[in-house]
Amino acid sequence: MKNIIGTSVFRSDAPDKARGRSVFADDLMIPGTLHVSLARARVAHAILKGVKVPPIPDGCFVFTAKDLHSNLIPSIMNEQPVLASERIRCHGEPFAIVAAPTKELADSIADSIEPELEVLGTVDSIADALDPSKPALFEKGNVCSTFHSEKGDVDRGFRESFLTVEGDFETPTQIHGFLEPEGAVTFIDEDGKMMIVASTQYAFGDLREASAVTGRPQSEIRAMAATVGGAFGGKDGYYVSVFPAVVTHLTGKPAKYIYSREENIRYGMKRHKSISHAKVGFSKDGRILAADCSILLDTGAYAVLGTSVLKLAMEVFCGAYDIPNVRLDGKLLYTNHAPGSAMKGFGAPQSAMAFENLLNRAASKLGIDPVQIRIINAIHKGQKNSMGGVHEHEIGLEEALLKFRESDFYREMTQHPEKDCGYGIAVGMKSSGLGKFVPDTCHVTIRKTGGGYIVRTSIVDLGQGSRTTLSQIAAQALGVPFEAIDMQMGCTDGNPDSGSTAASRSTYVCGNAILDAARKIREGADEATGSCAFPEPKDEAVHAFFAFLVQGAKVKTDPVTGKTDVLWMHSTTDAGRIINPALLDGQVFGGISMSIGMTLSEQIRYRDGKALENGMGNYIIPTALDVPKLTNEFVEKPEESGPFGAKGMAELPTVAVAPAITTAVCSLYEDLEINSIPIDRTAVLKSRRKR
Amino acid sequence: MKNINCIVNGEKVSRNIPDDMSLLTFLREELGLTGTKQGCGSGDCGACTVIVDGKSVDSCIYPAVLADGRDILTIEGLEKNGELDRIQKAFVEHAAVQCGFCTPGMIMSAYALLQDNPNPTEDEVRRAISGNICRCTGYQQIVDAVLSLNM
Repeated sequence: MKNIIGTSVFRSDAPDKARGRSVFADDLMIPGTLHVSLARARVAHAILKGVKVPPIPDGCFVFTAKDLHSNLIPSIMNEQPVLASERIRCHGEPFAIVAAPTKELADSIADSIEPELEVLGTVDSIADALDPSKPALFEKGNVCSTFHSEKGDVDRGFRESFLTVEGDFETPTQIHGFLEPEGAVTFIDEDGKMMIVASTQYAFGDLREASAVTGRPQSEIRAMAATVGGAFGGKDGYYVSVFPAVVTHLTGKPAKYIYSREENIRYGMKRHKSISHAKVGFSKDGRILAADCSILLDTGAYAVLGTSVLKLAMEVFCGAYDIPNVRLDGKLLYTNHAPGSAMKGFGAPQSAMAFENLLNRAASKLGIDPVQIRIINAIHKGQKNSMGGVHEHEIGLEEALLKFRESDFYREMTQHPEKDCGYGIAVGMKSSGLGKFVPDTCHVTIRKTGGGYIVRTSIVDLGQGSRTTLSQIAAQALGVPFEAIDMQMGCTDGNPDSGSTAASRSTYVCGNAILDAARKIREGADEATGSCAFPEPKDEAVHAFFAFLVQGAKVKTDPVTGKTDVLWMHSTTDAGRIINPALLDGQVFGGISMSIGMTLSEQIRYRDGKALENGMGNYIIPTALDVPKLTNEFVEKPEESGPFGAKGMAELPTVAVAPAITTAVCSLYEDLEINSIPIDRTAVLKSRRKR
Repeated sequence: MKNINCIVNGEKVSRNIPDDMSLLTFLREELGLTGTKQGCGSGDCGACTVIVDGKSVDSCIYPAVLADGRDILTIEGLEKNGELDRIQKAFVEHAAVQCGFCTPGMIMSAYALLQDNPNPTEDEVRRAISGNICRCTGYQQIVDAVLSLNM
């Protein structure tokens, strides 16, 4: 049989998507549906003394916290209510659920519900969160979690350094920007069970949250992912399906709730704004001798997955390099902003902004090529990570750097740079898997049918292409054509729990579970369950393994406006064996585009806790004119434990974009250091251009 | 309420609709043509792009009453006898589809471009789809797909 691993098989879901036939949550239209709207707070911080519900028309419903079996979103910190009942902690926090026969009516009832408030001072920034004179969001204060790690003798490392570079850096609050806003439809199915059809990364998450909040037993609920219009971490850990689920549970009627774009931008989850500080010491020949790195993350009113984001930001801060002496310090802080949670990159883009910029500055001061200084320091398998644990899995960073050095991009940058263009490079790393102490197992089933095999998994194709890559893995393992695999995905009913489609884990953990089941089928079974537990790091580490990439940016700046135009971005990616090169390119290009947005135009700015941005007219996502030519190549260093040697990589391409671009811009000026993004055009304009 | 008569994907349609209904709502809720998507509701993202009398429009901010007497083409109208149109095929073959939510609007913008300009340059393609936001692909494979159709 032909090998289909490593071939760019066309996506199996693409034809229906290109025809407009795929069914997204909002495309489900059930007669008699109640449309859901939320009464949301118009202040960011207040004591909520009561909710005044005016008389409402027949056939409409209003539910408040007292109508819920449990008013708690199940989460790591278990501190987020479904509906505010005593305290408002962010602008837009919901305090009542409204259901009505039309969306317009539901919205107008929601607008008419008045909370009785005692307004409190707003914690409106990271600085406010650290200021003891500001109000505390929770009894324990505004520090949600902390991180500290120390390896070697950092102070001695600096004393022995020939050069020390240092800086304070800032990255913005960013939205996921998926084109399909959050949403779900719920109804009672023919068996009397509540069905949840959601735009979600994890249908079991929707099911468990709805069960906990409504008190309806899990066995009386089914959940499935509709076609999902992008997620990037923003449709996991907090499932908005809980709102229509409450309505359906309490009324027996179908319910639909789709976020408006304004709700998505203002009240949806976010990439954490960060402020970081790093100090890095070097020997004369470019060895990094010491790193002292700290980061502060704004998690908004609730942590959701923020505590894990902080750990990852710290773990990868200088993790791409073999450094003997490292100190890491981080704080996750509560503010009266919309909750920060998982977003493609999961803290890594924030820390790379600091470390990679400093590394480029040091290379320049030491007169060492920026690729060379990374080769000198690159981390390898068997070496210790920045917390002292040993890397036991494959690392292809040095190979990626060597290959990048052979690229057309590098040749242009070093040998014949285009006039008036700046060039910069950076390295990124991103873990896969949920990390230490978080159960991370995946189960799948395979059943033989007349013509092929049905593979069942709760992994969801969010757009990243897992339906196709997992089919390739199954087809290869079972020795049948790609077309003989019927992937049944994203449903709780009849599907085993494969864990969430998150943390760049699916290809690895679900791919391995498929291999496990396929082995049993090959041994003679007609039906088999396969499992995989994600490897946990044994000692001081958060994650067991990582993918890496090198990225180069070519830019121009406008002498009149100071605006940066990115002209080309080239990546060399290490993700183990590549299952489907065209889909891998798609992940790389999409991640780059997202981070070009963060670097040049995207940010949520808060004023007294209220987001100034409320639409795509003022929250500026890059268009085809803002994203340049994108090229990608990869090194294939197979990960022994991965399916056919693959590693996860979906989030990786967001990580190194900002420092590559800022370095490229600064290379055009005598006196410019960019430490904060999105890039301030006026700072560029004020700088002295190199001649 | 107003009565409108128009042609949608080659078929005559007549409906009584509220004055303030958008063309997008008309297509999705009156006609059940859910291939056209709502991404923002304010004409900023292009997910709702359809063709009206040969020109691409954002159907979410286009009043349905203005469609009276006009010829409308949506994503559902491109395939013939179950066979994908060449733009749809190019999108499939160039990995230009990821989550698929921007795809119908993106394809309609490409359709409008190629009607007027069968051999666009890369810059013309980028300009033509610049009203369509895609968060998944970084546009490269979409641009490649459209350019592959050059005669």
